[in-house]
Amino acid sequence: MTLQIVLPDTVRSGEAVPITLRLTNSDRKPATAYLQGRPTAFDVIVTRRDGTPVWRRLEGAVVPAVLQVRSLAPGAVLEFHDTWPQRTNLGAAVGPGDYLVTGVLPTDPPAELRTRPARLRILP
Amino acid sequence: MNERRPLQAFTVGVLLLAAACSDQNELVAPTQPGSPSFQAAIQGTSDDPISLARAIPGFGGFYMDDRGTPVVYLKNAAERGNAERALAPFLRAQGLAASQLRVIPARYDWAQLERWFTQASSEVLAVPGGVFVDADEASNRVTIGVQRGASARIRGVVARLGIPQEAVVVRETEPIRLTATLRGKVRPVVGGLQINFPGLHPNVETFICSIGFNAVRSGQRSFITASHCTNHQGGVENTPYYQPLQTSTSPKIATEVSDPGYSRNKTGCPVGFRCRFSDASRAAYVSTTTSSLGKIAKTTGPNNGSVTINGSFSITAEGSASVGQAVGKVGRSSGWTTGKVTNTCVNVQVQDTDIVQLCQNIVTARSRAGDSGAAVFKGSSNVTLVGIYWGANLNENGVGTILAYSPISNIERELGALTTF
Repeated sequence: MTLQIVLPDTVRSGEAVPITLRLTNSDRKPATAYLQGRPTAFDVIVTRRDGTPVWRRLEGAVVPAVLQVRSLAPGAVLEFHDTWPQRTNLGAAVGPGDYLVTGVLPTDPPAELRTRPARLRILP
Repeated sequence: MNERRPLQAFTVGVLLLAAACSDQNELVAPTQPGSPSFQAAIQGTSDDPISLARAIPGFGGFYMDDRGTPVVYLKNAAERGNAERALAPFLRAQGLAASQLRVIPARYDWAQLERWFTQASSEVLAVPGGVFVDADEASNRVTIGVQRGASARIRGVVARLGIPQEAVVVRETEPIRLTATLRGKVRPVVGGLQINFPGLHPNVETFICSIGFNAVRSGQRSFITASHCTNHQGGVENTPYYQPLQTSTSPKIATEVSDPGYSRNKTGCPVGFRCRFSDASRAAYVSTTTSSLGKIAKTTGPNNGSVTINGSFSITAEGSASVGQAVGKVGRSSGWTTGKVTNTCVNVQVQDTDIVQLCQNIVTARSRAGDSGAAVFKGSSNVTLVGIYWGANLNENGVGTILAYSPISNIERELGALTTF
């Protein structure tokens, strides 16, 4: 299974950033995903390019502790959508600049599915 | 000895089960994996070399050695041709030629070993320290496993039975215990065990939670789990439950019967949200499922990650927990974890929903997905039931470190008075 993150390369300052996590069964056989929460919990982590944390979607969130066992046919895709309001977890607006955005799909620990960091440029 | 075939595994397994069953506690009744193949083996099949060869005069055993060479014990080497013919189906299935068969001299024939095996089994396993008895096809002897210090006692039993000492190998071994886990089949059903329900789209999704505790309500034997561990959180949809999993051979154990709806009109419910005072529901057992009131499975220790059952907690009271008090929970994913209450009567919004759970308690303890519905309690043996665990934060590794539970008083406020012990 592969997890991808989809978001614009650049956005204007103050615009909400649409973010999609896409879980794909890229195998030729059916696969099983062990997912957390109901609805399924997924995380998005925004950092500055030097790794300084800016925003985490699940920061302070409480997620139902149910384990979801999901069958995925070959080629099947699950998508998870959210937006980042260009604010820190404390609510402060972030400024223009370059950021890294990583998607995480918590599965049965210690396993997790994590995307490569995607670059995001916020224009003035 | 891992090259040995299923029949012997069955023989030893049956005796171990018999021995263990004699002193098993009420929690230990796991399904034994592979039982169907064991059953097939004892009936004698074409892939069972012992059944194929036992009619050969002087046959004393058959095994595959460490290098994969087929070895047969024969009292008379002239029977090799008969052995090759008898074992041909098995050897072919293994991709082996009859010429590869190695013959070694037998001291005892198999029928004799089986008689001694039967004779020794009933006596040896009744003696303290007897662990297993095996008609051992790899040594052409009866092998007896004993706990340390029990050898002399067991040899005395063998002598009394008239079995030649030289026909018996006595070997010290660790006692073998049946291992039941929170994720296996356990009857009677107790708190802490894994349950499975199919969800609204059973072809693509299924859900796993934990049983909190057993309860009786209006004479109905039931268990309590989380409300979100039903087909729909809030409202009764007759969710069927299986333990540990829904399979073609695993019947339903219970059906959801109580799960009050979430309402915007609850006192203290924030505008725009639906609320309840507990994330709890009740399921009634089917008549054929046994359950044990007041018992929660206990694992090998707190905060060690084990899901192996080692006894049980006994609920002796219901109560509440204050900030600073230690509480524990037992769930199918993280086992028995403990921590301290940090906040009481907190309103908690559930991520990505319009649900707020009113007046919940917060604990710093570890948990994992699948633990939902676990009972929260004070104590480590006789325990005071304080609530049902339902949710947690997720740290960047997907592990919950702060958990939320519904107090038992809130649960009974919504589900009605419950008899829990």
